[in-house]
Amino acid sequence: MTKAFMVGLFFGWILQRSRVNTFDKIGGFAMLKDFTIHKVLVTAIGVSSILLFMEIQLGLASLHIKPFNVIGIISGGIIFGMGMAILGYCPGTLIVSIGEGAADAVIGTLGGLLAGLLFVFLYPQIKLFIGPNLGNSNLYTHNPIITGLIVLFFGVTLIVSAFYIDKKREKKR
Amino acid sequence: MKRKSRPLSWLWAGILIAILNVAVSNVYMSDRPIGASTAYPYLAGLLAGLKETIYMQEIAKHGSWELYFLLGALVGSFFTSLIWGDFKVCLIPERWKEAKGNSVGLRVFWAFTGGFLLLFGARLAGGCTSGHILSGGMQLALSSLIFGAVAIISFLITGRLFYGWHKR
Repeated sequence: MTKAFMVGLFFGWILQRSRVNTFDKIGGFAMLKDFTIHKVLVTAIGVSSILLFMEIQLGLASLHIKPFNVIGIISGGIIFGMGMAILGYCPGTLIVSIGEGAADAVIGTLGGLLAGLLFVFLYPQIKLFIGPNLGNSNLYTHNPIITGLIVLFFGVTLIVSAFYIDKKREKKR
Repeated sequence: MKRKSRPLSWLWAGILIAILNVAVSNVYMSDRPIGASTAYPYLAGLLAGLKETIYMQEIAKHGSWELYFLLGALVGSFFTSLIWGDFKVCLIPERWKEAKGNSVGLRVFWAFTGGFLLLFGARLAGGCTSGHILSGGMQLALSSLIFGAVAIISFLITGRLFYGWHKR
């Protein structure tokens, strides 16, 4: 558990120092006034997808893929997106923002805890309709070379797209 | 201490988050990627004394990891913001004021509602920005890529409708 805490410290530091935890960045993206969040997320996914593939090839990590429960993923994605736009934080950045004094993040966390409590209660019923479960698949293939090329293409495309958005936004200013 | 400095650039933030997530996934570290949303039902369930329910038993392991992770994030951000002079108790963010005005009641109502929707949605889908979008995206997981696409479309449409009502 000390590991989880240490990871959290670094996470809090990176997010706080890059300001991507703030309403002005996340809510600002919902208003299409600030694209920092988008660039950071896309870059992080791109870089980590390539590094993780290498780590797995070296036998130092394994995949932890979440199940594809069709109704759960789609309805959850819609509700989550609405909440994130209105609140202007996501579950991780909410806590990072409390750390720097955002009182509205405390209120948001209370709303989140109530949702969590309700979910614990309703889970036996909810469980019945979040499916069908299409399994825990990803875009990896059985051939490591082909998978490597897919990952490289995926990662590089995301990183390039972040630079592209950055350049485009710079010109507009 | 006041020493306002230039924040980390988007590129560095992205690279550092990537390195952190890959490091955490290492079998010698936590052997799992980062995630945050399970901590909410876990903490709520603990506080309400519901440890014996099915869901609490299913999420016990991940819930406690994520709770410690978020505790670290809270402490990390608190000290970082103090050191760099960003710490400020504030209820209504600047951009919210520009779009929605100064009403405390309005911000409190929507922050609570937004937080509720955010976590309920995340639990329905089984993950959030960390667990699905960052960590699932990094693994090219189908569930996470679809979640990310649906969530961002919903996020942008909601943003348009919600903040578009007022002056832009």
